[in-house]
Amino acid sequence: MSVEAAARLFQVTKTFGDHRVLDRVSVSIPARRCTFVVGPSGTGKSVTVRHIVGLLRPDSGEVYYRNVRVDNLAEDRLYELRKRCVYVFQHPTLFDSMTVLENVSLVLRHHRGLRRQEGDRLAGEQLERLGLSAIAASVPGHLPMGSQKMVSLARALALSPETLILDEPTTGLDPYAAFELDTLVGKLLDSGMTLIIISHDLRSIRRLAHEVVFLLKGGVRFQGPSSEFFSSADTAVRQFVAGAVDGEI
Amino acid sequence: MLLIAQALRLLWLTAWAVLRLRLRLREVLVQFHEAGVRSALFVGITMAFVGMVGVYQSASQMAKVLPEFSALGGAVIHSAVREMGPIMAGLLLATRVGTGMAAEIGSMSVTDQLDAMRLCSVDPVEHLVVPRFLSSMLACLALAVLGCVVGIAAGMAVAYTGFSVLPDTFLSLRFMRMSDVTMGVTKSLVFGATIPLVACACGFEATGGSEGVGRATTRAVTLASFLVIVQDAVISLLWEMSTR
Repeated sequence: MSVEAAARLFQVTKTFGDHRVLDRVSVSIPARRCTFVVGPSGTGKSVTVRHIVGLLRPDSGEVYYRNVRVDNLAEDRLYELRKRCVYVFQHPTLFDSMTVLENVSLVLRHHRGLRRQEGDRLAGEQLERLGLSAIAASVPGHLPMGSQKMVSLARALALSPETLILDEPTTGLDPYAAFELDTLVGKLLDSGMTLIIISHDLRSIRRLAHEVVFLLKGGVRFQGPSSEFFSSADTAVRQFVAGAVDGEI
Repeated sequence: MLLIAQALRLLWLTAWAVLRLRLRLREVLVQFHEAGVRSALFVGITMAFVGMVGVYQSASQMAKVLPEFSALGGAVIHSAVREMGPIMAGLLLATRVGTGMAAEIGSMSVTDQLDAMRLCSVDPVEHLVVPRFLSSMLACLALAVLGCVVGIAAGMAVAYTGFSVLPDTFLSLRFMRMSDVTMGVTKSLVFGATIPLVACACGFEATGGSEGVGRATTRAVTLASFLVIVQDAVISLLWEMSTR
């Protein structure tokens, strides 16, 4: 049985200066599943995924979200897409001039056209759901990294997206906070959300992944179910999973 | 060239946002306070010294030819309104405010905050550039006026104490025409518009962590100062050609 694709990149090439980061990459992300995009640092994981929400445009190739081609959409039409497919950055990217509540309220007001009072009310409810009410009035810069990442996630979830992209969500978190985050991600999966996670965290991959995309040197080296990823005979995959120093990576 | 192209693109997007009245007036006031009010002392003190040195040098040269200073004040006022006031305000604004803008936006760029804004449907141009653009234009004009007043007053003090030129004689407007004031105002507004556009363009293009922010800041102050000087020459030339 074929699985519906949430997002699809076809023959995407992206170059920065002289450096070709992606070379004719083709990837299909299944809907309502958890797909991990993994690979060594600097191999183009974030670059690949940013194409889906139109933060980057390919030099050549095509990008689709729910069968709609997005790589040639104007910026104002991408706003519609970004309500449904939300990207959470590796850094919390919260606005330091605003409180936690205002950060969450901002997306609601801009994406849904709400008035400030209504936006603040819904933002407060969202923070409460994630147990973040106590820091609603805090300025993000004064919070620990774990809290900032949770606020960043709360801001994304406030829009009730159908697809959530998390860029290295557990980086910089202690093991307990990482486990908490994985638990939350598990609940989101149960609710039918599509998740695309960029990560190096093998524990999270084992715990959550349905599908794994392994990128190496600007291309897709492996794409398939996570069980096959961990038992793959590919030398680069085996090296990555084993964390070995010697090898192709 | 890439940065100038980016600055021109920002000019177009900013003008479009202003025409649609996406002004964020509260933020304009906040930025005016930062760019204008907090630069006033810096500009005032600098222009006082410029006025004093300018008058001293001019009077010293005049004394060698003909020890008659009745035209001194008029020439100084003429030059302050047309050239020195706007250009010094522009250069000081570029160094003090342009660097701050480039550093702030550059930091946002390298930490993905600009992309985060776009993902929140917040247009970075409307949110960041428009308030800085409007406030900087107003600030540059206000600082140029302040600079002229302080520079002329300081020059007058030197003329009186050093060369016995009475204030009534110094404050002569005989060389001034309305077009000189218009030119001074035009230059101030153009410089005030250029500085934030260049600074924001440099900030938007920043990549590569704190080193990239540093590069963006240096580029911003260098390019903005250079453009202020070039624009001053071009406006003066075009003005002269059009009034001949």
